[in-house]
Amino acid sequence: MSDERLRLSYDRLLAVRAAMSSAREGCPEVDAMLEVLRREGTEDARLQLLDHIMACPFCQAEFALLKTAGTAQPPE
Amino acid sequence: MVARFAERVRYIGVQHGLAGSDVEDLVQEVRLRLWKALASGEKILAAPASYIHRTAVSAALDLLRRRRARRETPARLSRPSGLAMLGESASADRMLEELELQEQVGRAVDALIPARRSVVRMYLAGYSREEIADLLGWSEPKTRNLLYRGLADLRERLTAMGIGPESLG
Repeated sequence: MSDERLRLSYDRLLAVRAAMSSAREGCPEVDAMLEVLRREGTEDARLQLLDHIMACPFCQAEFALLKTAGTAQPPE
Repeated sequence: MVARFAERVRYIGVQHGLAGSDVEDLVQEVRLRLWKALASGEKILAAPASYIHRTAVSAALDLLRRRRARRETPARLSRPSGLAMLGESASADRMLEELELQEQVGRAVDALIPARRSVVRMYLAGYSREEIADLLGWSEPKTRNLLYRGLADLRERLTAMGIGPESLG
């Protein structure tokens, strides 16, 4: 199975999970996501948080938004 | 300067697959904050780029906190479900096959060892190898190695579940 097909299946899986439930139990605080973006904390802790973020459709979208704001380079 | 920064935020938002409303909310919030804090166009123009940058990050944080407090769902998730994306013409068999495949991919990813699993999840979520390396502070070879091994492990597990390279195109 190609990488593209795997990505498509994973994206659809998260879409189904989002449609089935909007519960946010176990989701990290927004500030914890910011710490991941700033590479704060231990590597194990960051990997554990990223594991949840990338498996949770709600956290994934929020993380992308934070990353967008954090990586937008201001113009000259 | 603020307008150009807003364009940059919009551009990156689209690249990250964010819904327009997410990015527009953020841009609007940054504008409001700058006007409240600096009160004039001249002062905004004179503000250092880093100040505007920090304002954007802070606005994004507050936007997310407010959403959490109101238990709102991110706008991006108003996307169609996995089944709907197959199209109206998809047969019931095909839909079931697709759902089964999604579940199996999910289970196979869950079974990976932790370090590989996080990297594979990020990759499947659309992050590039460079972005993963940057987020984790890893070298390119280390990231490539963990991702390569993780994907190989994932395919091995899928094959053991009876899902070969030809599955569903």
